[in-house]
Amino acid sequence: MSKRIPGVLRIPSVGEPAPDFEATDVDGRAIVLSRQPKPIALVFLRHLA
Amino acid sequence: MHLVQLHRFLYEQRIVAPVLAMSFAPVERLASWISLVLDEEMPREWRAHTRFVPDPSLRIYHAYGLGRNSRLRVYGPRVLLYYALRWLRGHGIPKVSEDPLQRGGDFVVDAGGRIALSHVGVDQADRPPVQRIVAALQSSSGS
Repeated sequence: MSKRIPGVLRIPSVGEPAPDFEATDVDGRAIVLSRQPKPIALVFLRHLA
Repeated sequence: MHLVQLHRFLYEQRIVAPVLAMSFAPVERLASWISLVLDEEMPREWRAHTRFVPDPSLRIYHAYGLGRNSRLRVYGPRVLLYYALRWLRGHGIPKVSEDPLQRGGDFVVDAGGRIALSHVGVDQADRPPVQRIVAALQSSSGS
């Protein structure tokens, strides 16, 4: 079952389609998740220390 | 550091897996952190298949449900213990430039584009064991 943060945000659960996104990496290269080789790990960092 | 542990494990086990490392720091700050901090802790060859993605608008974080944590959880016992151990080892307490309440998380997307692992910690020190991430990567290659 999906976990919901009251108000807005929703954490995708196992088995659900991964939210796609487009971005630009730190070297200026375009990234589209759906076009990346898979399986792939997504690590969302917290603050940088 | 979780990111270093994951890459060390992948490298030592000779597992080739792409990784996207997202940060909500601006691109200049992320690039600086990579060269000043990460390069000291992780050989570049460990992260040959890793790309670093700045997301200062939090657009991608929010797409994956990652908002802000509560102060009580951010500064809970496990986090305080982590910083205490850091201090005892002589690493000091890191200066925080970004929002310390913003949550992080770990996901694995399988070959079919579906979530194979979803982990958002109960506090800022809660990350899944790297073995669990790698197991999800390996078990989802044929999905």
